[in-house]
Amino acid sequence: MGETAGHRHAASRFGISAKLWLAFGAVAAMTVLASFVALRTFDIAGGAIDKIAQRRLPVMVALTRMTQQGNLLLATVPSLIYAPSLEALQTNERNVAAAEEAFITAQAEAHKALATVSGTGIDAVGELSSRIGAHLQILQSAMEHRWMLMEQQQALGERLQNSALAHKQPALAGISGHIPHAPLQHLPMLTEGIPNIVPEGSPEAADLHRMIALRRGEISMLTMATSQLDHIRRLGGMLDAETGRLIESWQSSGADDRTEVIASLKNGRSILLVTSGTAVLAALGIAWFYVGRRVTRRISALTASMLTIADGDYDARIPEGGNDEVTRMASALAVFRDAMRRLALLARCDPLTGLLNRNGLAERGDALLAAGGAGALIYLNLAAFKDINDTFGHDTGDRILVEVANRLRAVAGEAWMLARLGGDDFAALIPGCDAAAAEAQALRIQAALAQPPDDSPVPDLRAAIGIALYPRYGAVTAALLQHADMAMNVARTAAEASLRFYEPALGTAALHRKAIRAELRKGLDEGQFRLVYQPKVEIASGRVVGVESLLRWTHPEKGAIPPADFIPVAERSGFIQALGAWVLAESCRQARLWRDEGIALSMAVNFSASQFLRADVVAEVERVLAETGLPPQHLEIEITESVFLRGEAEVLQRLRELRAFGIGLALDDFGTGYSSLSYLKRLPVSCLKIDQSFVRDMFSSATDTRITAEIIRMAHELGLTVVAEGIEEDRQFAFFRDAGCDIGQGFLFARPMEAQSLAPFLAARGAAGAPRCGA
Amino acid sequence: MRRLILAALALWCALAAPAFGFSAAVLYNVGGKLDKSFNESAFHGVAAARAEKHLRIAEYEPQGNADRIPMLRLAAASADIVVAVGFAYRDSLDLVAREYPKTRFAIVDEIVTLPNVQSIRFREQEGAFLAGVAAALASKSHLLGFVGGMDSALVRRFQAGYEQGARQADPRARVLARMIGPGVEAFSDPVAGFLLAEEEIAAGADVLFAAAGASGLGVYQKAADAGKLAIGVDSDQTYLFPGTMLTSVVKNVGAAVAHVLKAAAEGAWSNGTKSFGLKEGGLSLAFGPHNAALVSPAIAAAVEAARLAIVEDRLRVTETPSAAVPSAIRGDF
Repeated sequence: MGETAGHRHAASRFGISAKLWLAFGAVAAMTVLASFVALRTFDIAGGAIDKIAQRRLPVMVALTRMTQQGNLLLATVPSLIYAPSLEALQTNERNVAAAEEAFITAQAEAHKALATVSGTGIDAVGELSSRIGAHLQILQSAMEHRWMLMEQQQALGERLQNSALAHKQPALAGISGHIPHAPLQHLPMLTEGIPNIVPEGSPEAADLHRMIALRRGEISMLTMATSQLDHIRRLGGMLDAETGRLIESWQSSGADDRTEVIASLKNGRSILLVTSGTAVLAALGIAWFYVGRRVTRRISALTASMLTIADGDYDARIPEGGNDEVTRMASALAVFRDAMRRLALLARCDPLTGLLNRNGLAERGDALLAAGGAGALIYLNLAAFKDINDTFGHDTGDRILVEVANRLRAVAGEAWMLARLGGDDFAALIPGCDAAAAEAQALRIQAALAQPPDDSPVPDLRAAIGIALYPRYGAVTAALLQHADMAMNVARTAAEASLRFYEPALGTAALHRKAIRAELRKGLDEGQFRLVYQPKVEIASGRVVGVESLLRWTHPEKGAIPPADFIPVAERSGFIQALGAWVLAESCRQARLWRDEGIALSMAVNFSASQFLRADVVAEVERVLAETGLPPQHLEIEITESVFLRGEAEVLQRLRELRAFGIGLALDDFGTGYSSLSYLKRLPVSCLKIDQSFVRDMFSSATDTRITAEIIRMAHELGLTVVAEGIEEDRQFAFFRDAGCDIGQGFLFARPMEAQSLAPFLAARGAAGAPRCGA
Repeated sequence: MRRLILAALALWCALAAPAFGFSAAVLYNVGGKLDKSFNESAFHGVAAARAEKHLRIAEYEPQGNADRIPMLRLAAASADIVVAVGFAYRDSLDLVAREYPKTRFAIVDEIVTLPNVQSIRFREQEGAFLAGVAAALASKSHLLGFVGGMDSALVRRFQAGYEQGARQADPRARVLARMIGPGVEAFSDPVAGFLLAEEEIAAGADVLFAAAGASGLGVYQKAADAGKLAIGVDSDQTYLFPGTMLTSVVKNVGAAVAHVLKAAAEGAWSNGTKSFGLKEGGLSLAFGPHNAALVSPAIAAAVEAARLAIVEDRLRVTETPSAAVPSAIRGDF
């Protein structure tokens, strides 16, 4: 077992939870992978954006700035040419120099920004800018020379105007003032005009020639500068175009970058889709194929098994297989099923005897009845079993019950269903039998029970049996049981027969008893009970020697209820104790009253057998006698043979005590029931009362009359007084008188009468003697 | 503000120097390190040395003459070797090198005779010789023009090499040589160059070599205007006037700077004068996309032959020209 459990435990290490953990772990790993891919894609995209931001943007900015600075430079250059003075030129030169520096800086920045990338047109840009710089230097140089030449012209002009000749020759001042402004094409004409103004070879002529040469040089400087400006403009245009090409190529390579980013993003997206898709599919797969189909299907099968078991099918198949929690659940369910099976068995079985219990019988019997066919239910109750239990203890009682069960088993046929219904009630459901067969079987049972137990103090077992036939008297076991029980009750209370068939009339009688039981207590409390007294007459003398008190119940609605109807009910319910005590007390009280009136009669009081089950019965009788002041000799207690069925030893002891106290004991109803003369020897009775049924039928057979005579003779031999009950006819009286019977009782002498009627009755019969029965 | 930055930079250099071991400083000439000419060439040398030797090199760009001395001092205080690019540093370096006798210095294009100074000189005549060969072979008139800037030993080395090369290639060839002026401003007077070029072209010269700094621009402009050929100097100037620039005598300052830095880093620094010519890669003739159409295979072959002869010491180019040339006086028309 330990090994099995260990194996199970080891096997379940990789059970559902482990698999689920594994599965969820796999999904989580996939998710992590997907996240990683997402992050990676993000990184790639971020890197690409960085590339654009950190590499491309500065290049674009630098190129743009370079273009801008180039344009600014080109815009400032003309100011050199149009400067109105040398000072202005120098100022403008500084501005141009600043613009050039800015341009060179921007160009250097662009170059630096582009230096990280090969195959660009930046070298061409650099060359162009250098060329612009070269022309700019030439331009500036030319302009500086121009202004110097102008200064020299001015100096010469001033010298000429201040010369001695200037006063004589006004034209000299005119020409010297004109030269610095003369256009190039006038210069030859001016040169030709010099001899007309000043003589050739004069210092003034040399100065004029020199002025014109300076003017010519100045104009050529301006021309040079202008041509440089044209060069610069041309190169500026080229630079612009080159820069534009550069920007354009950068933009297109930017497009390449973008394409690259988009490609990597698409790539990442594809991988992400695949990964996350795989993760989702894996999760779905686990949920559907493992949890959904494998686990859930098995759990559903288990659920179905559980429901089947709950419905009572303990042979339901429990799914097996696997090595996980469901498997353990299944094995737990198997344990549960077995326990349920055992419980169900217990619920159907009587644990003491191993027979079916009431439920079991009902269940199996119902199945049997439903199958159709005819049969009988025998309901048996052990006579006086309660007394056995009370007397000998429950162990003995249980042994007897087991013994009864064994004997029933010995008797039973294979198809029988035997059950112990609780207490000392047993039942046997016998299929396939008619009334006659059922009766035969009942008798067999009684015969089997009648065998005295081997080692038991208990007398031979007797059972009251009720039989209900089916399907006539019941389609279900419960109804059948109820009817058989009813019949059994009738059988038990009817002393003469201990076997009865159920018939519908029993039902009403049973209902009647039920009603009586409820009314008994109320009747006693409200004084509905009263006693009547039947005189006993000494046959030899005709004298009234005593009375027997008889209980009468007059119900306010139902009228008089015969003792045969309510005494058994009172006995079974236990109310007989209270009722018996009242009867005793009332009888003694009346006897005392009569004694006080001078009527000395023996008072016979009927005791129920169950009254002797009380341990204090003797003390109770003594107490009543003491209270009423009735001498014990005047009290006679009548008992029936049934008293000996219950706890013989103790009952005998109590009877002996009563007898020793001086109280008379009469054995009532002799001739019914056991009627065993062997009892008489052992019993401490003083009187024997021959039952009226015996007396009534006595003359129907010669044997009976002989037996009666023999009983009287034997009783006398045992020293017992003999009372004949139910004497109604003269020939009966004659028989008993001849047979030597001591006392007669019956309608022939007197009917039972009210207490107040006794005195007039006695007076009518003459003086009453007091010979006592069985003295 | 600028000085603050310089100070911060110097301080950083000083602090960083011990951690990185050998450290160097390079001072460019006025004009910015990306000047398309002299400075940029030096910068390429810095970049090459940095890439090759993983050197820590601080760079200084003076904005005017006044920056030279303070920057030299900052550099001298924080670096193991200080390289000053340009002959204009001569006096200031002479001063600062004496203040920092433990720091090693190098000066390009000038000679400073101090125990902790290395002087870098170029054998300009070797490059000019090749230019003379090319010019003589390209000329139809057998008359070549030379325009010098400031009349100085450096410029005369160009002139001498040019003349020797021309004669070697074409014994009939003559060189018409003119100098712009005696002062340093002669390097920045394009109009003067223009006028001298005009004069030489008028005399029949059809290939003009200008060793005149910015003044050369006027020479190139005139040659372009007249449809004659011109030869540039210092850096590859063939792109400036595409179609009329035969070639350029390239003075590879960068190679010299890289050489000095690497030697110092390897502990091979020495004082005295280091001379760079064709052999050391200090000078070369520019052949590129802008002059490919002008340089015939014959010219290229002759130039290469001459180069080999010089590199292999089969040919010696003297520094002095055949005769002194008259300088043009500014404004002299």
